[in-house]
Amino acid sequence: MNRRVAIVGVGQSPREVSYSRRHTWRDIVVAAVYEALEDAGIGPREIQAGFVNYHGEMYIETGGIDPIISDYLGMAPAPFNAGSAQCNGGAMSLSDGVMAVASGRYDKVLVIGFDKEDVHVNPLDTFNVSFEVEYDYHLGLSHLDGIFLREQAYMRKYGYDLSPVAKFAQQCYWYANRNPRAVRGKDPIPSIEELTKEIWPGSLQPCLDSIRKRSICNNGGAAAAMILVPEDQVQNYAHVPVFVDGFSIKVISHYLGKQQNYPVPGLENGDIASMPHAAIAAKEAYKMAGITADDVDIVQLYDNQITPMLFLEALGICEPGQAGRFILEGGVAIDGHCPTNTDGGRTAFCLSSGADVGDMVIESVHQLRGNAGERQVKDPKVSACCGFAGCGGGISVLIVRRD
Amino acid sequence: MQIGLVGYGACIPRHRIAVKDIFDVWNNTVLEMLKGIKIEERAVLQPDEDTITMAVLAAKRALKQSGLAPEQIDSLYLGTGTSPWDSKASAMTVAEALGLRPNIFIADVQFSGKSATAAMQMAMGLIGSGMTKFSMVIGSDTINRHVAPGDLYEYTASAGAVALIIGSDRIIAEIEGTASYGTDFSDFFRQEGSRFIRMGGQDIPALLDMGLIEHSVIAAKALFHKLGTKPSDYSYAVFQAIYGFVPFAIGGALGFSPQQIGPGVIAPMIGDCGAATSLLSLGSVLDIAKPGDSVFLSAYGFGAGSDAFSLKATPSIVETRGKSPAVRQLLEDKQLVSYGTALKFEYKLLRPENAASPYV
Amino acid sequence: MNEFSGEQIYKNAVYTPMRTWQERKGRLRLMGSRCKDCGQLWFPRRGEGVCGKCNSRNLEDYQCSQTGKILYHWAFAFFFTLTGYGERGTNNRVSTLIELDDGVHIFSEIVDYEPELIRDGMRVEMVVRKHRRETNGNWFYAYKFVISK
Repeated sequence: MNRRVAIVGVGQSPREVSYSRRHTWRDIVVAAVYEALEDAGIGPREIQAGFVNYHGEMYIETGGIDPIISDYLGMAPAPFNAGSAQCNGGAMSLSDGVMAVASGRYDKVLVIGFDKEDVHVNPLDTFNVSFEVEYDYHLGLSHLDGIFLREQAYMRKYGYDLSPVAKFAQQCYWYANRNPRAVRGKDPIPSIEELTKEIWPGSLQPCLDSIRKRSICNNGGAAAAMILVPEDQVQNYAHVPVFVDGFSIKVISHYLGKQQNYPVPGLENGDIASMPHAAIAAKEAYKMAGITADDVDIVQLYDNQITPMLFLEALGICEPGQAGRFILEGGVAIDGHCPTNTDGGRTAFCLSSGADVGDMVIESVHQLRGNAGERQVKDPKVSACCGFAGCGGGISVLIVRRD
Repeated sequence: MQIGLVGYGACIPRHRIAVKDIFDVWNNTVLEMLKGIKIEERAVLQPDEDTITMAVLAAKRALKQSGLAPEQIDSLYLGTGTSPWDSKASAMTVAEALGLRPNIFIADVQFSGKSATAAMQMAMGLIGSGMTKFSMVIGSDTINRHVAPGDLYEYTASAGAVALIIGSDRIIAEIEGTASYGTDFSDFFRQEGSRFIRMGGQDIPALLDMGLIEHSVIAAKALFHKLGTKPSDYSYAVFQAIYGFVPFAIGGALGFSPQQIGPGVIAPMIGDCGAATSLLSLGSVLDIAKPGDSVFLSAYGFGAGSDAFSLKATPSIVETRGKSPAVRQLLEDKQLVSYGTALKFEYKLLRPENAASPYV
Repeated sequence: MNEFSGEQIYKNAVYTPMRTWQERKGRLRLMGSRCKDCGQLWFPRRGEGVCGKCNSRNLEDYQCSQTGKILYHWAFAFFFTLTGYGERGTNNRVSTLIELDDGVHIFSEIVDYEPELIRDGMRVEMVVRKHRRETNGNWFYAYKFVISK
């Protein structure tokens, strides 16, 4: 890249459910952006361009948002490149923003990810248009079914039961209890029994009660904003600069059947118990940043049941099939080998789809700056952030680092 | 030219309801009377089953039994009075699902309970004239979905499908001849745009006497006269058995014995399946017929008309055994459900027009 | 008047007859595509598109096998308005990844079997069922799978 790019300001909309219910998507975007502007100590009119991502038009029931956002933020005529890539959209808008600054075209760029799910009467109708669609969504099957089938595949292939998934969820609650902004921040940590309850004992089929307790927590609407500047300007800003030193987005078919065996080099040895495209992305992102898996201090990933295990293995932090054991042995705890989802993750901090990757990067920034309070990991320098769209059709690995 | 059946297949919904469970809700008749007319259970559709889904499965079984490829079928006539569409042929969706050629002769055929046998007569004409080599006829109905809760017909209103492949080659049962008789009599009807089939009056014995029994008897006698046969020539006799006693009533009036009628009586277990009713009984006797056995088939459609057929099993009939599930096997593959579940599954509960959640 | 049919209409995933016609063979028969150059099988179909393996534009219709076995299954705890499966209630639908006899993988559901008794490895075959009403009120048919007996 031509120039190294730093994040100098971060902001998130309030995550209380009561806040989202009473405010529009424009309001939550303003809340996140103006917190980021204040964090960076700059004014709104200094932003030259914005990159915004959201799940999709059907999901936020609005379209053509780029002029709306620019105007509402008081930033017109600055352009806002808008795009949708479901829960991985934040990686798209962030990498676009980084490339815009790295290329030299812009010096001050705003990156926002948001979604507002509670605008629907029946959100279940639309939140799923993130899968192959013609042959799954329209046939009554959701990406959640795909994720649970991935979970079945992983458990059966490597001989696990539901306890690694349960343990990871518990860890998310632990971190969330130490995060004043977490949606489930005041919730007690559920027991392993509650989290592994099966419909029929011994069947490995989780019952609805246990799923609810470790499900992603959508608060109805959230926004996450970051401000990017080139390396040679970081001295103008108060905080320790955090650089986006590597990023890679890779895709595979969005049809679950094709994810079982996609016939191209690099993907063909995968199956639904793994994410071969995530492994490719991790290698590329590491190479860009000049690091290896051993250099990763903390991980912020898209957690939804089995995905943490799939990511830890794709990142090379665990060998294939070993991530379950790693988690059971405390590998992702604050004093573990690789603290993961230190804000509580999608399970206990917040899930919104559009703001997910932004939230991961923002938590990385707090950890790397050293102001994560009670959940501060000791002296992390490198964070890997991992986005996941639909049932893993698109994934991303981003490397965020301080010197 | 010899014309006859080349293969057959059936589909019966797995879910059933016991008439006692209907009676416990409505208490609108006398339980002993239901026992007297010999009806015990009838089929309940699952939320994802209908005329088309049953027709496709029956047709696949017929193709498998006959050994023919879908591309060899030259025509498809789907006999049904309960098509999901008032205008648009269900047969086309069935043809696409089976992979039939796009250039075949195809349509829906409607004469209530004799829709499929009317289609059989059409198929005989197509084959006899040389226009087709193999013709498929399907009888498929979902009477249960189209009878109102509380209607006395609810006890027998059922669903099922039978597919027949007819040809002039590879015949397993020759069709020796057919005769029909009809008069304009509104014993039952369902007007355009209406959900429910209604009885023309509440005097059911009168409707049966002047409708089902009279027309079936006259059509049968016309067939005997045409072919020079008599009841004692037949090994089996099957009828439009909307209740279990009906075959004995019509058959007895014609001079068939209980031994000829009994093997084809399945109505107590399954009720009235519309266009599939007589064909299910036909299938049940073809499942056990020996080469040379002849079968008398009578179908009746309200409105009113009856078709009568004479069939004779050929030596090839023994080759069909085991190639598709037997009718009695399908009857025994069942799961009983409650009246509430039946109402819910057959979409007889009022729902709001626009879904705001899965349940409302 | 919708109470006539009792089945609700869904507001989203707007259908036109053209869209349904385009996918009819895939949904009613499991028709996919086959690359004439490298032989790779594809489901869903890729029509006049591109082979994802060798980038050839030479694709033909391919009739996938209609029988196979269950690789993994999950007793479905979610329900979706779009699909109108509220009639079955929760914990009564089973989603599954199936491997057909020709190696193609299908994501579908199992019906007509007690969910508790389903096991990975069981043989299955395709059936056609009515899924729901489309936004224009029309009926929508497509495949599901049953356990082979």
